[in-house]
Amino acid sequence: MKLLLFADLHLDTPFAWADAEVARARRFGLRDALRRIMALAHEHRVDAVVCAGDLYEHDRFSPDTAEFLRVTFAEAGRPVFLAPGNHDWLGPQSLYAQVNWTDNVHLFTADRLTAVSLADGLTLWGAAHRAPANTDGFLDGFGVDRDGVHLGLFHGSERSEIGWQEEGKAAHAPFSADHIPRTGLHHALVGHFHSPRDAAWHTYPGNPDPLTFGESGDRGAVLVEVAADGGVTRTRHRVSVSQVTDVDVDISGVRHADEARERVAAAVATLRGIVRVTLSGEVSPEVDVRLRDLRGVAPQLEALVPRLGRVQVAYDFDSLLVEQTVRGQFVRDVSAADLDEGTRRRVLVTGLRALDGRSDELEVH
Amino acid sequence: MRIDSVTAHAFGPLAGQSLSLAPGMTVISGANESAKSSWHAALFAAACGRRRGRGAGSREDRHFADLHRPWDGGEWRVSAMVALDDGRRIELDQDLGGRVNCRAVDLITGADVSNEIMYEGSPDASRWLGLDRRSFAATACINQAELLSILAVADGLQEQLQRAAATAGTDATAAAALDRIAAFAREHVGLDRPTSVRPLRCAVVERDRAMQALEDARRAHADYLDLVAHAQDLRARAVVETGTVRNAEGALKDLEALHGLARGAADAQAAADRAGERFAELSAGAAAATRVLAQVTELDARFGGRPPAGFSEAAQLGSDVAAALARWQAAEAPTSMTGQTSQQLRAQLAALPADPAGDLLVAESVRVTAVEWEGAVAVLAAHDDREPDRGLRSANAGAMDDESATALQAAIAAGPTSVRELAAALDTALHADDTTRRSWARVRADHEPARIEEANERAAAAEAQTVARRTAETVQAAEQTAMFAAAVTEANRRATTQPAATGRAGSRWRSTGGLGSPLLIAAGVLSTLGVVLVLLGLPVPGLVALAAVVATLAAGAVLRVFARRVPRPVEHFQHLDGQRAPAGHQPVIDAEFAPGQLEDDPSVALARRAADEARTTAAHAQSLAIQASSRVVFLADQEQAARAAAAQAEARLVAVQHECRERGLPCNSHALRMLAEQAEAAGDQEDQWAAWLHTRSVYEAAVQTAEHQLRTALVERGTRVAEPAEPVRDILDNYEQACRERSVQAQAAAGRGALQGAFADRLRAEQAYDTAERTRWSAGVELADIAHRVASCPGDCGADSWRAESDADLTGLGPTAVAAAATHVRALTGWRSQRDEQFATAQRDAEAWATLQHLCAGQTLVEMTTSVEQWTAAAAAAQSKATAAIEAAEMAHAERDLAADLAAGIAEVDVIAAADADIVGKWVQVARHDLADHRAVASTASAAAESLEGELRERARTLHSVPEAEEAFARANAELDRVEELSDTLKATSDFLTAAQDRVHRSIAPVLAATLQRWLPRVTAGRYLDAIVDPKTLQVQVCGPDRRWRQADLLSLGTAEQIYLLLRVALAQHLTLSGERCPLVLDDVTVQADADRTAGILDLLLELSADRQVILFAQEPAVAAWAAEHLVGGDHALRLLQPIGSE
Repeated sequence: MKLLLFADLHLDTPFAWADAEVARARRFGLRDALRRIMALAHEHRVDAVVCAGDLYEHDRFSPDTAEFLRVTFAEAGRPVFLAPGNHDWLGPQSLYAQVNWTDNVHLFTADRLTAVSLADGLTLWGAAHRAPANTDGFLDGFGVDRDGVHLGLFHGSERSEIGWQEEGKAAHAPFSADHIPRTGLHHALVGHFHSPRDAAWHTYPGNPDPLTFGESGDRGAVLVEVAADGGVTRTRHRVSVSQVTDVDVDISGVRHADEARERVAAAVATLRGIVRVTLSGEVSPEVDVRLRDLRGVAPQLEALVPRLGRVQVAYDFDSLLVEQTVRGQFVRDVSAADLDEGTRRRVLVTGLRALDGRSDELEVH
Repeated sequence: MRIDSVTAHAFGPLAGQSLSLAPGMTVISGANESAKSSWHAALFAAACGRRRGRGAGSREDRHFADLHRPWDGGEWRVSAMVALDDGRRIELDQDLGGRVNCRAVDLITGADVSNEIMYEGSPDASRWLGLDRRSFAATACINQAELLSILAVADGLQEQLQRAAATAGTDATAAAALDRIAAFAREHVGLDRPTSVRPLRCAVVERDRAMQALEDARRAHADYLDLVAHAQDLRARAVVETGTVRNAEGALKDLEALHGLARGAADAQAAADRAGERFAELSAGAAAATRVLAQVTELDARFGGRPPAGFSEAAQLGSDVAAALARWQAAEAPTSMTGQTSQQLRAQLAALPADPAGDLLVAESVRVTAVEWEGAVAVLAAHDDREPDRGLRSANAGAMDDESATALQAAIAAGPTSVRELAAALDTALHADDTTRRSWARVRADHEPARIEEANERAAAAEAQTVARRTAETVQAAEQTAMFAAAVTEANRRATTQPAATGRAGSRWRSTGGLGSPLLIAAGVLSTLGVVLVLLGLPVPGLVALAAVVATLAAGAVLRVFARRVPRPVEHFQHLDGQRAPAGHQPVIDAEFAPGQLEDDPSVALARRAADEARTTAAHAQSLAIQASSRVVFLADQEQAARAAAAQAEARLVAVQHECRERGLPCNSHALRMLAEQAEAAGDQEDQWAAWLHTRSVYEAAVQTAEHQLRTALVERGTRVAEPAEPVRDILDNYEQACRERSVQAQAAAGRGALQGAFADRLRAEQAYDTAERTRWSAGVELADIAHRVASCPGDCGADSWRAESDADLTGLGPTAVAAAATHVRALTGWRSQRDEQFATAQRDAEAWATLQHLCAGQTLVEMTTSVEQWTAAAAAAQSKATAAIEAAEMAHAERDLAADLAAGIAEVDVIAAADADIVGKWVQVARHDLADHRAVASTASAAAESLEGELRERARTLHSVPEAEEAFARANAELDRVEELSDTLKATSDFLTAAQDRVHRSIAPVLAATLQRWLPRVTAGRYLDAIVDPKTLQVQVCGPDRRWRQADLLSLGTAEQIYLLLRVALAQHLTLSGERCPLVLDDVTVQADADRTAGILDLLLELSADRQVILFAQEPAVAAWAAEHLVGGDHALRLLQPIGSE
């Protein structure tokens, strides 16, 4: 038995860091990823496609997305099992309720694990989030009631991974990995955490297409082959259509703003897709580096998202701190003030530039 | 720190040359082309090095390199030997080209101490001073151009000080930096006002627009989701309604089947019932025939085919016997009588009295009227007990004296309300009169001092005007004199070809200028005294003192002009009284004098300022006089108004008192209020007495009415009245006594009726007794007669025994007769019993025979037996049919019940009631109606679902994208955050910078002032003794012995130069870390100065070199000459540079 697992596609999610055009393109990229998943299922002749939740975002989905999903799954040519998550929770207003699914699509609708027989002796247990939050763990009080091999399919937070998974991820339908075998399940196919995880008793496939920067790991769809004894063999496949890259560019020693642009252009010259550039380094006070100046330095990219990292202006603060002048007093006062580091840096550089007689470069990022 | 030597290994035109420097003052002198500037640059480069960093250097760095790279190539390198104040000696070696081999080495320890002073990539000795190479250049290095720019520009000294305080002179002042920040904020942030088009307002507007768009998109999305859910509901409802229709159709079908079965079951049950009835009918017939046959058989056996014999006798005898017995038993023996006989009762009746005439009890009419009369009398008596006092007519009124009584009568006549109003008016008038009188007195008291003050102010104003006019005239005269002197000087200059000996002139200036100082001191003292007097409110003495100041200053100004310019001592100059200078006084003026210098003379300027102050004081005094006049007018108006108010109040008081007297009332508000209360109390008492009298008359009339009615009632009851005046009480008592007597008589006469009844009853009882006796005798006679008849009856009528008894004697009614009657009764009763038994037997036989005949009905016994057998066979056949019909009905019932059970699963079917086909028929009708309803509902639901589907498609087509709205909002928010962050940063920067500026200025100002206070008297030969520095602006003011403060940059150029140099020394020391002294490096600072100023500067530098190293680059020979003369000893040195060909 071969299953193709994916989760956390988050169709119709917003991309706040991007401009309107890039953001729209990114959302279409998510759809392309789903089409790739279906093509992968066809290529590997899997017996079923299973989705462990957060297929779309309930608060944002468009009718067009509903029709896209209906058509895509209808054309899958194989069973598709959907277990709604906290972002695509099942309710009367859900996309799931709106779509007239074809017979090959099976939607788990109960907030407890219910069984579907995939084959003789192989049972898939799935459940749905019925609310956006406060969903209890699906394994609590659960146990299989029949013989054979049992797989779980749901959207939840494995407790031991809450600490290192994405920051800010709230715990939904929590469960413990060691609880899985006690329920009689041989393996759990789960979604929610976007970082991929192939654990002994459960598998997080990760979000198949990048949702933000800094995502690492082998994310995508997971081909799960289930043996007769319940053992699983997992093979990960990248299905993303987008390239999202983080690049750090050191602009120390640049003599003017154009040199900073040149360094950025050189750093991203071989890249494609979307690149986030983080500038860092020590820059002479005379050099005015502005993020908006980096527009257009890499036309081959879909988007360049610049941001300032630890960019230090090369003032000799040690000397300034002992200077018995207004400038020295200003540096001492600001250094001793209760300010966050970003504000302190901006105030220092702004004040020193003003004292340097610079009139047009007083905005410090 | 000091620099001991500089070696230019390769620097511009210099190669392998060294320059040693003295620890005190070193003058490095050389004409043009002697590499003086190169040595100056090499000195700086050797001490401070050059910035070393990645990338190209700054424009200044490049310019420095262009100027000072070695002309003949080679390694661009300089070095210097430096001595620190902590005793260390350091060799600084600067690789200016590669900027790699730069180091600082301690010459004693040999240690590389470069890291102590590394700044921007190379060792910088100024770091030991707490400076860097930029701030060292700005602080310790002074050139002539800088000096000139400071002295040539207004507020140049102040700005230079601010720049030094802000950035050690390297960059802008803090104020300029704050202006830049403010300008940047205006341009790049702006205000959040509706009319603003600056970034902040634009960002706010865009953020609000994006937020609104996001809310709209979210609301539309939520509405869309609601619509989706609603559509789902409608679809589900349509499906449900369709299912309901199908269920209704099935239910109708089942009910129709049930209806058919119910009707079949009912028909089968009817057939079964009919068969059962037929069986019962035949079965009963068979049983009846069998019973008749059995009875006929028994009767036939009893009579044997013959009828019975029957019974015959004289029926009349039996009846007579029975009647005789009944009459005897009815005639009972009478009971004997007891009690009074009728004759005795008749006698008692005759002895009774007759009934009385008149009332036995008090008549109701009399009793009612008597009660009413007694009540009216009691009410009147009670009312009399409550008789009130009679007010003024009472005994209390007599206690008043005549005057009080008169006043009270007047108060009663006027009425309490009017009296109280008069009292209030009297109080008001008295209060108003008192208040207005007090106010008037107070205003009068204020008015007089104001008039005196006005007169004083007017006198002071006139005096101040006079003083101001005289002061102005004095100043004008002084100016004219000075101008005259200037004209003469100009003429002399043109006529003279030989320049004046400036040394002599200078000495004369100093000698005669000495006369100005006492005058200035006097002017200072007088001006201070004048200002103090004015401030203390003594304008006239103050103005006199200020006028004296003006005169003194004017005199001083003229004296000073002449002291500078006139080659002979100045004669007496009398301007104190404002008189013009003597016409013949025409001083000869120094050829260097120019007319414009009069404007620069501080004494003249001070005189002018004093004149201005006098004019200002006069104007102020005039203003005070006008204010005092205004106050006098104001107080006069107030006094007039107070006087009018007092008169009006007094008139009101007189009017009120007059009215009191006219009404006969006292003019005292307290007495008036007492009279008002008394009048009010007297009125109340009169009212109460009148009310009591009125009530009593009413009660009295009621008594009279009641008495009349009682008298009338008594007469009507027959009471005799002896005379009309007889009291009604006596008449009533007589009537009641008569009633009691008649009652006793009536009770005696009342026994007649009962006695008459007893008499009648006794009479009737005696008559009844006689009648009963006669009836019983007749019955006994009849009984004896019938007994004879029975005894004489033949045949079987009786036996011999009772026949003998019938012979008893029945004559008479005595005991014998009664015993005989009893015998007859026993005999006749026995006879009659025997006879009745015989008759009954005969009667039963006759009836049985009749029955037999009836049962046979003409049939024989055999025929009757055959008929019974036929009945029995028919009954058996009917029983079989009935059994079959019942079974068929039961089967139909079972089928119907089964159908009912099935129908009950679908429809509301009562299984028990389903046995009734009519009920089921009604159910069918209801089910057909329900089905029609369900079909209509299902159709409506389907239509609604389809309609909403259409709306949903339309809504989906126009739905806005929520993520795009979120992204737009995020971008707008980010932009607003950026602008707000910029605003916050600029605001914080401005605040910090302002605070730093204030703090540093506050710390620097005393340092600068202290330095000037230390050096100023010495370098100005006592002309200026004190100095102050404004901590806000760092503006410097100095004053001489006269204590008049002057702005430092408005002083003469020489003095200003010296002050500036002193301030630079002070700043250099202030900016230098404690423990080190900053050397001064000066480049051609005297090149534009005249000999006096040059000498002054050099003298000052020499003085300063006692405290710190001074290095002066100069090109003028005069400086070299001065150095040769003054720089003696080991602490000072003169270095003469030789020209080099290619510099």
